[in-house]
Amino acid sequence: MKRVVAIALLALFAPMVQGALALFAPAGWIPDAALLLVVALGLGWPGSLLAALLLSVWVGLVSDLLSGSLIGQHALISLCAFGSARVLSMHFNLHSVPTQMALVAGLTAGSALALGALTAFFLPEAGPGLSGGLALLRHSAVNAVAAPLAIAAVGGLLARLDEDSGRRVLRLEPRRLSP
Amino acid sequence: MTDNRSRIAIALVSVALAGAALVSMLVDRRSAGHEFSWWSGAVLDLAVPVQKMVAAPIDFVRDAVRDYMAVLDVRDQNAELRHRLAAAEEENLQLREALVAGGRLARIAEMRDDFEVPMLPAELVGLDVSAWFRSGLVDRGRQHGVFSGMPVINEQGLVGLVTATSRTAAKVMLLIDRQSAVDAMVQRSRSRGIVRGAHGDDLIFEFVVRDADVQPGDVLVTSGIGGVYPKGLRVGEVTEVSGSDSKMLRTAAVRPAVDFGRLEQVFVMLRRGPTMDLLYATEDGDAADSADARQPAGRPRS
Repeated sequence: MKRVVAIALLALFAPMVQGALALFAPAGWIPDAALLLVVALGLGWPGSLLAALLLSVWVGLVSDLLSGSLIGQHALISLCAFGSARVLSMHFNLHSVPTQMALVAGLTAGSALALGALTAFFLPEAGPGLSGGLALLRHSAVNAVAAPLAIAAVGGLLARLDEDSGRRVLRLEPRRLSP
Repeated sequence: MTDNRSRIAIALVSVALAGAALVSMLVDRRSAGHEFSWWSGAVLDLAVPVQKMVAAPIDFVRDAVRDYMAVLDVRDQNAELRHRLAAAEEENLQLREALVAGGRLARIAEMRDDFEVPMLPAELVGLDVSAWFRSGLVDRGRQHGVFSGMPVINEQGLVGLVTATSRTAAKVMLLIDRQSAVDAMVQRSRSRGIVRGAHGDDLIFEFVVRDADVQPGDVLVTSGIGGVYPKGLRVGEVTEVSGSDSKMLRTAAVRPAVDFGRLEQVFVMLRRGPTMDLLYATEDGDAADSADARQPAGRPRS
């Protein structure tokens, strides 16, 4: 439960901080906190999968509220990103820094394309989907660079809040039979 | 067996969540402009102080660096006058700030006279968390009389449109967002067209070539047609006209009048156009000067 609350609060505040930092940097230069958090959950969530699914939707929902997207757009992409990270982590070793960077770069590009496709589908009058390959590359690179640190930080937080670590060991003395 | 069941359950939950997200998008598309519900409004209300808190130390450091750079400039000057110059520089900085603020206010006052619309100053506290959308969060909401559909400007020109509000915050779709479309005209020739957001901080002016006279350097202003923005708000300046004369629809690259990279203080025009009154239903009809506000019909387009 502690883990769920901690991640839910992190999901709430991290995008707010990201939005404030965006005032001081050009668009695309601030790492996508929501995506990084979801990938970190996909790679290292130790608890119930159902809770992780709900958390990833919550992460996306907060992004939707703090963004110009339709409500549900980031939530859906967040869910897909979590699923992708989870499935890939079951088949590949994603513990090394380069693989984590590659995964996040790929998911950034994928989520950007998916956002563009969803926008084009639901709001066709908004014009063609995302353009600007350079912007996409730049944002993927920024996210990739931030990924190992973010994944390690979330992993560390989850380990710290491990619900089993606080339990005391029950010592069982062998029973002595009296003659 | 149990493992299989749990896998099926997880798959079903995933599909249900994805379905809910899709339905939410559909609902949001149809009902854009409704004020946020209590829980989503609470997130926005919470974002304002959090983002102000995060921005404050960065602002402080940035100002300190600027001041330091100014002092370095002064050091290079004549040694005999250094002391006096440093004092003058200090005084100058304060006066410059006052002048800038005074100038802004004067220009806003002029605009206000032009449009006769009450305006509310607001501070931009955060930008879009997604790199692919261009919106911002301002620290004024329903309790200050801000509602969806109200135009937002600054002393440079048109900034965007309020698209959602909570009690103490409002989300503003910036002019440079891809979903933004503004009916505009060339101030010199009165040729009309649509200004849309392009990627980056640029705009695109789409116009029908037949009767259009558009040249680089032309200033674009809102046309007032479409009932979203008042007529005459500065939108930007044409930098390049592309496409051949043989095409019906041509485009021009436009540099926005507003420097979106340095957006700080904005003004919300507290009256929205007739189209916005038709699009947006409000809980407080008087705030929008609309006696017969109807149900919203979709995302706002000028």
